[in-house]
Amino acid sequence: MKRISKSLLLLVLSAGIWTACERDPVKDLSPKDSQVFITNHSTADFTSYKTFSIGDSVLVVDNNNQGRGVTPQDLAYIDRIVKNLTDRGYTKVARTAKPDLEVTPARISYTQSGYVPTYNPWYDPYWGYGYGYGYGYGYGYAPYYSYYSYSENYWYVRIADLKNIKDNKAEVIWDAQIRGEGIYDQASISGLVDAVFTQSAYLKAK
Amino acid sequence: MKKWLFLGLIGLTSGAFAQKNPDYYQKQDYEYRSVPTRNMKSPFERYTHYQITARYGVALPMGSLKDYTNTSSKYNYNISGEFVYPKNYSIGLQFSYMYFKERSPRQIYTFDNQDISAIQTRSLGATSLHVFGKYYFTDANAQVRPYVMAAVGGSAMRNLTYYGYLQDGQNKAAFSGQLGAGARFLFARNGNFGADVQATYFYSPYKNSGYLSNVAAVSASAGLFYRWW
Repeated sequence: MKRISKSLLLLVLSAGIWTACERDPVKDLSPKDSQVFITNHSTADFTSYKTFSIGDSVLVVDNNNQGRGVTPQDLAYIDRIVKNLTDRGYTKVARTAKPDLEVTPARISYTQSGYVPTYNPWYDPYWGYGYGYGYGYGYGYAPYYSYYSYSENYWYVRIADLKNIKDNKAEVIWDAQIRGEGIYDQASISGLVDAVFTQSAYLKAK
Repeated sequence: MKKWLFLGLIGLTSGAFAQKNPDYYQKQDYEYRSVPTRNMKSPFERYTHYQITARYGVALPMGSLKDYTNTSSKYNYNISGEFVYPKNYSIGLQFSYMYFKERSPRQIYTFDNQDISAIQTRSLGATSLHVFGKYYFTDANAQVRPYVMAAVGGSAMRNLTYYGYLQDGQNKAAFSGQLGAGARFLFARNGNFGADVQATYFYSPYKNSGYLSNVAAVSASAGLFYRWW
């Protein structure tokens, strides 16, 4: 019994030392540097569309709940999207005027937390090369649990093609995500929206 | 009185007998009494002794790792324990950690129809456990002992690539090995403490598609050791 507890202590200690020594590569990232702009686009010809419509509120998705948002940030966000699309040669029309494109601005937050066993790479079945397989395979014990809280907050905007509806479905031809720290700061919203349009040079009516 | 005289005579004769015949005593006993300790070699030369070493150093990436993180690693350490044999070699176990990180300025990364504008941080942390052997060029108790070493074992690779805070990471175990040369310096003759310097080449066939095709680095480290028997 004494022997077991001794080796267990050693195991706990070594795991502790190990995790304490691991470095966090993004600990020193400034809020502005943490911002990430992601755009996805289809191969559609963007010059074939001329008009768009956009809601007057932001779709708010919070885990599994949905709602509408009209905070000053939300309105600034919509205004800046309209300005960018107008600058690119698209005309804003009412939803009833059969627009070519439907723009959906959204604010998404997603939080998850729980306990997970700490990953132990020494017991990874994918051990380097193909062989050595099964070595320590049955040992999959994970005596250490760590608490995690994972949350994502980001701006999202999606453009759907209303011109070529197939089977009652509109295809999304462009979407963008704005992630990182300080994205809900009202003063920086216009810059954030401009960034996703800047990296989408193909998005223009002419 | 007669009895004592008789016993004394027996004692004297047996003593004289022993002087003429040294084998009369146990051989071991004889050696133990007669070999002067001052002529003995140090226990470090007579027996296998133990040594623990802690070293800290810097590393330079090579090959595919250099393309991935082209910066020197300032966070590099190594702890080892070994059996030092009276002959010119030793065998031991070492635990080491090596960490590389590089950050690129903001740029746009394109993957098919996706564009990501981000500050990319690329990092690799390698925690290794190796069995090693050393060959020393001088005696076990020499004040300066230059050596060559080779180590093999496994490394837990923590290869994390970040776009802002978004992580594209992989934790995986891989084979790894080291080749090195160094020297051990005793602070005092027959002492227990000393300094150790080492230069090593590290290699692992670890792969992470899109980022790394192998891990290689050269490192230089220095530290302290303690030996006992």
